[in-house]
Amino acid sequence: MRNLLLFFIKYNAFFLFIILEIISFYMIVNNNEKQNQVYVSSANSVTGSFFERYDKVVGFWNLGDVNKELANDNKRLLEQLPNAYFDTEVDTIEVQDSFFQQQYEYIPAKVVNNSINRYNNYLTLNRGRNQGITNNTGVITSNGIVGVVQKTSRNYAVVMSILHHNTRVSAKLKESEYFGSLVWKENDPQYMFLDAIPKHAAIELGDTIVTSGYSSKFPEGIMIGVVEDAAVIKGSNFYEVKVKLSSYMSNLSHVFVVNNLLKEEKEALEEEANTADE
Amino acid sequence: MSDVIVINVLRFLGLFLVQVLILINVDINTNYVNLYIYPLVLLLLPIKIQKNLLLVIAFFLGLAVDMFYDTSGIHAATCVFIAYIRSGVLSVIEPRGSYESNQAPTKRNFGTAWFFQYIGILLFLHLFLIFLLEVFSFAGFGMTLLKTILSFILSMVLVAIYAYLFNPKN
Repeated sequence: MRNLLLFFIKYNAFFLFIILEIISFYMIVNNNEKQNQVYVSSANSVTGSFFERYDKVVGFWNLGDVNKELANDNKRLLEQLPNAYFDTEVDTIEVQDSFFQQQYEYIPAKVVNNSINRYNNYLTLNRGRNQGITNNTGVITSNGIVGVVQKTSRNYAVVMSILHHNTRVSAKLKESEYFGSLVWKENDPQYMFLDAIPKHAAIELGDTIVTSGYSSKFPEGIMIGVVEDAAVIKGSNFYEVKVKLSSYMSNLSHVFVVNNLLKEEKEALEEEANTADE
Repeated sequence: MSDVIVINVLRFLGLFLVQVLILINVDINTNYVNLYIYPLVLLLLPIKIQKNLLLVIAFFLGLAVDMFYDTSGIHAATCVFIAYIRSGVLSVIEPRGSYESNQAPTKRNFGTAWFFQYIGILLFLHLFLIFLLEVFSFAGFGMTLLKTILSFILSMVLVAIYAYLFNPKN
């Protein structure tokens, strides 16, 4: 007994060390969540894995109900979000003037879908037939043209972007009034080409290109872009003018649909003249 | 003698506050670098300090740090361990002519090379134990080692700053 006591006294530091470490580890295992999990899972690895397997098997039986419940929950929550509501309000201003007859009406719309990196690009607007949008009307922003409405549903309109290989927009040089057809050739969303400008036209880099107003889709003088580069095509009498677009097709948000109130009258007359020719 | 106590108490408070108020918030790369300077409190206690006292100080220092780091027990266990092996390490690297009583293991008393060797060994072990206990397994051992090495290098910079700034005798 005396020897045992002497042993403890001689090595008291060691025993104190052991006691303190035991206390520390007791605290580590008991209070620390992460360590607790390790301790628990290794202490109960048999029962743990048993329950896990059991749950895996039983869990399949009511997956269908669980899925349905979750889908319903999602539906309910999504329908409560503010963006689930469709804003149908449209403001258009009509000027009553007996001297000037109003020709163009602008319908504001928001772009809800847009692409610029495909071979042929389209946009979707949150305005449709119910808000007075018709096919083959132009779409512009405050700094350039965007495209032409191709299809409309009751509340939506699909717009053929100017970044489309079938795009033909009648455009002219603002200074010299020479006009041509604007097309998208290279797949670069910043540039388009103005064809059919005659060789004798004076073109300078930086000249402004605007819409001509010859087609009924766009009013005259809407900004399109500036001349980036101009070269006469070999063996032809026409320039190929590279135009840097002024509208940023990649971050469109709010646009205006141009409603030409005299469009039907003009087109009917042109149609009549064309058929009379044939 | 009272000088030694005052300096050590001040060092305890000072380094502890630096640790739990400043270094705890230093976020160099959360997953890889944690800075620790508080182990200096233990490592700079007088060489011939009574071992039981050293162990108790270590335990409570560790507990105090644990409270701030929300890691109940990890720092306490590490500190107690480091305090226990401190005398062994000191006797291994004992310079010619043994230690005098009441000498503190500082740069001023034993020279730069000896000081950084002594601190380096124990601080590295300290950090390694902390990170090992945090993971609480040998899984991801390489990650633990990498974390230890990166944290060790930066913590040693702090130790050097402390040593050159204050250069304490005790």
